[in-house]
Amino acid sequence: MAFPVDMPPHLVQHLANMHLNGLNPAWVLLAEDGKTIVRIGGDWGAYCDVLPAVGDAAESLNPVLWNMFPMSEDFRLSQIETADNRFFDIDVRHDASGACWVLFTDVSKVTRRFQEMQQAANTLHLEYHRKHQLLDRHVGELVMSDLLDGGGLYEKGKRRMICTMFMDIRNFTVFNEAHDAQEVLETVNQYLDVMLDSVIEYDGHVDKITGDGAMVVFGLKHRAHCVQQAFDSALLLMQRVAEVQQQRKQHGRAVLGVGVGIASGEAVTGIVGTHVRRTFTAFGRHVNLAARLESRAPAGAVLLDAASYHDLDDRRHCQFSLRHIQAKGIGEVEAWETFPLQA
Amino acid sequence: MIQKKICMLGAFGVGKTSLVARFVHSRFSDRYLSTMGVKVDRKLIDLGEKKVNMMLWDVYGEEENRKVATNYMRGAAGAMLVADGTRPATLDVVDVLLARLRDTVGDIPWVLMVNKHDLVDQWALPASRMQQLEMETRPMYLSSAKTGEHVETAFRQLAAMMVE
Repeated sequence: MAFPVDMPPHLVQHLANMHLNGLNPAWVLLAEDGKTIVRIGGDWGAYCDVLPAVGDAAESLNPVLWNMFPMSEDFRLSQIETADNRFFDIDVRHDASGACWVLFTDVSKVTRRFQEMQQAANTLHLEYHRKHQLLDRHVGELVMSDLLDGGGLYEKGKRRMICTMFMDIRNFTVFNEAHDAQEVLETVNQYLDVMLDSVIEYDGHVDKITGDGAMVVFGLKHRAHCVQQAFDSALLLMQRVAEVQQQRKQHGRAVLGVGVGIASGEAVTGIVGTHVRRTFTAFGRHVNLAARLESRAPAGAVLLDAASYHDLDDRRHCQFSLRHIQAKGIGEVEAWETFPLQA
Repeated sequence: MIQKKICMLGAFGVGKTSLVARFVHSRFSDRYLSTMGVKVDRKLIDLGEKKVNMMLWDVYGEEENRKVATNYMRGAAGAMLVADGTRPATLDVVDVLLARLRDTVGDIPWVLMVNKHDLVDQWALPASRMQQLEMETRPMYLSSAKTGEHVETAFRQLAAMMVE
């Protein structure tokens, strides 16, 4: 391969190396206007169907160079892919006199090798993400992180203070009886979408979905203020449910309400089940109490046990009324009821 | 006829190449192929009084260890920023790339596509985040290279913004 005598030595060395490595180097020198080709050399057959000629515009060398010239600084475009899966680099270099040289090198072999590795790494990453997402949906992000970090949620269980929330769509049975199953499913998903988003925003762990409702545990990630988190998420939930109700009303669809029960106390959290099917859950007196309170909460109401009510840092200007409730299997309990959207 | 360079920018695996293939060639493949550097494609868009020859630069996706070089953005008149609705973190990458694009070529027109909207079961953007995006980002499209949802619309929108 011949090189012009005025080509800067570092470019000669670069092109010679490319030539020795079979990378089919090709080059052009541009005129003072920085746009027009004045000299041509190398193996252009690898890059153009029509060979460039003196007097052609530099941007005619390849579509990627459109609108690029004149170029005042050195510049590189790597791994430009052609329609037939070949790759080339374009280097724009200026010599000491300011003259602009444009070099093409065929990097197909090395790029294809790199592509295989890149492909494998990216596929692995995407697969990891998919599995992660799947696990997250089944056991929840907090539990999944704890398990992956070798945390304390193992079979023996862990005793801790938590706050438990139950939520449920009101009059669901009546709605279920009166509507087609497909519509029922879509409606439940529409409500659960906003209900679960609200609790997840406050670091709630969705322990289980109970058809038209859910059990959520707060305090697994941050023990402090877990009651406040639960209460604040309940307020957000009511607000978002109201938005869903409004949308459904506008579309002439049945409007359903949601009731929430919250209780807090000591519980044992851990994995239950057999080797074929396991799940994380929480056991404790207050867990049952939260479920009982939820069953007695009218649509739009949040019912708290006394411990949670007194533990709240901020009641968010909600009006509470004291109720005495006969909780099945527990007896009479004090409960504090609020309708957040009626404040 | 007006010619414009458009950069497709986003994290790896969000579907940039698939969106270009759908838009330019009306085809889709489930097979994922990493883009290494850049692949250039063209499509002529007829906007009525004006025709725009869109030169689409399908640039490799941003990764933690491989940032998108600003050289590829040089001379761009518009950008299609792409995120993956099943991977919310790809929206953060969009913010990073948008900042880099502005530093390189200034405030050029751009459109956001939140892609893979056909993957309903894997969709990971909660309704609240989508509402927030719709309020903060205009124009934004939920797209699917697989079904073609909003693909043509989004590119036409970008073309219209570039010739305004």
